[in-house]
Amino acid sequence: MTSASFGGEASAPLSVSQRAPLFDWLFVVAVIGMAMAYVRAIFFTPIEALQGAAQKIYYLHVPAALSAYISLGVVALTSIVYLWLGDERADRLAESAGEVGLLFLTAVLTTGPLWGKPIWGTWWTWDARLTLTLFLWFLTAGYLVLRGAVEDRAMRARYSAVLGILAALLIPFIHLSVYLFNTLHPMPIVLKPEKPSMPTEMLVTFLGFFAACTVLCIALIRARYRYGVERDALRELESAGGEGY
Amino acid sequence: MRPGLLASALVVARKDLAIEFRTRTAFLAVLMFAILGVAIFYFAWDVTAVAAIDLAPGVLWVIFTFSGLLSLQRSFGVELADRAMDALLLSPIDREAIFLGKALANLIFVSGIQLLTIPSVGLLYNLPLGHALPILFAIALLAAVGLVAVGTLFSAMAANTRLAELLLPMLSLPFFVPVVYGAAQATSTLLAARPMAEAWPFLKLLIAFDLVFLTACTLAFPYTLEE
Amino acid sequence: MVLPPSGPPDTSAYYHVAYAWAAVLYAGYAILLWSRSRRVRERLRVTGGGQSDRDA
Repeated sequence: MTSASFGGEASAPLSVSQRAPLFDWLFVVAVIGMAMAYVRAIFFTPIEALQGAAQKIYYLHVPAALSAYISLGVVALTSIVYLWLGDERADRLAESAGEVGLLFLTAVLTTGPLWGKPIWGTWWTWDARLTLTLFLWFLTAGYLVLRGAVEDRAMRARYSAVLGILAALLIPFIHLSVYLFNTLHPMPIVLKPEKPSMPTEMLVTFLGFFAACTVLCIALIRARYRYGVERDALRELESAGGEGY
Repeated sequence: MRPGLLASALVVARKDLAIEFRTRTAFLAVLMFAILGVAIFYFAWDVTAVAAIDLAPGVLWVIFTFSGLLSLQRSFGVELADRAMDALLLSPIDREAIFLGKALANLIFVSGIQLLTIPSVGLLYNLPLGHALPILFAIALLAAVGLVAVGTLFSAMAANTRLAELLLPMLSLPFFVPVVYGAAQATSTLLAARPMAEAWPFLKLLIAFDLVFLTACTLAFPYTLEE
Repeated sequence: MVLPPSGPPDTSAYYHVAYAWAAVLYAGYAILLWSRSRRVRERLRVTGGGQSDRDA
């Protein structure tokens, strides 16, 4: 029987058919949730008067940012846990959250300009959120490249954990730099989107997307974690090299 | 009796610098790179459109970033050759002292490059640097501490991987951004003869970065060594 | 002169691309995970089967 743990691991090596499936009920819920959020945003939410249809990108963009931050928070926390306890599950979770985090960061960085161009008149601005997201993207990509470059498992885990913690320490400095930059060079904004006190219909769509995206984030991290469990089992088998149990 | 932290660090630093000075090749190569870079930048822009004094801070700090990376690349390469790292680890020196020693050696190396490159910018770009030089060197030193703290750690990590030369810049550059930004803005304030009080927020950024990352990287270094 | 009221600007192209692209990204990643997993499970089956044969 598969254990009901987050990662679906069990104490004895399981046969392939007994391993926890990557995409289980949580993922199904996530997909249905996203589909519902999409439908609601596209068909049942009014178009905003000042900004036109592109304003709807906001419903997609902001929850993706939140999911990215959640994932990266997991990376930072599990990095600390790994250095402290040495538990390889923490390292595996960090790896999974890192990949999923990069996915959501990519979503933020691509939907951002698609929203920015019609609304602000420019593809890119060095405003606080976009700039930070750009740096987070580079840091996360670097994190994953580092992981790919170290062959020894224990060393890989330690190096990644160190980078994860240092990257977390860097964030406030990037924030400060951007803040200083923006106070020196206030950006001319062509069309300043007023923060609308959102009418209820839009707020519901917004919150719906938040919920669906967060569930998707957790489901993806879990799926990636389970894949990590299988892949590590395979690596161990292959390095044990025919010695049998 | 275990030697103290600072004393051990100095021993390690002296060893590294002694190796460096035996040949001086690396230092001269990086210096050449820096000055060539400064020269190339001059050709890359329209002198009539942008004044040299406006461009100089940016050029200086971009060059220092990349020459800094070059300097750091070689720092752990030295040990790699003869597995000399094992001997170092067997000695009764704290791991942290090894890091501080290497960082100190790197700092001297990088500062040396800066010391020679800054006047050459003044020369090649025809800038009256005179009275600004001491403060400029001070800003450069502050920035070098930050660059070296992070760079020494990542250099140690990268040395053990397959993609060492690619990994060091890729990992380090995001960390260099606050340093380069702060230093370039402070330099620009200084060269434009504006009151240094304007540059204070940037200097604070530099000092805070140095303190936080020097501590963090020193503490993290033992984790990057094999058990 | 009376101007006819104009509606919101037509920015629907951006919005379509963004929504389609996000769906592609998320679905693409899920598919990537699934295919990596399939490959690993296949090799686990092969290696695991080889192991038990050798125990005999």
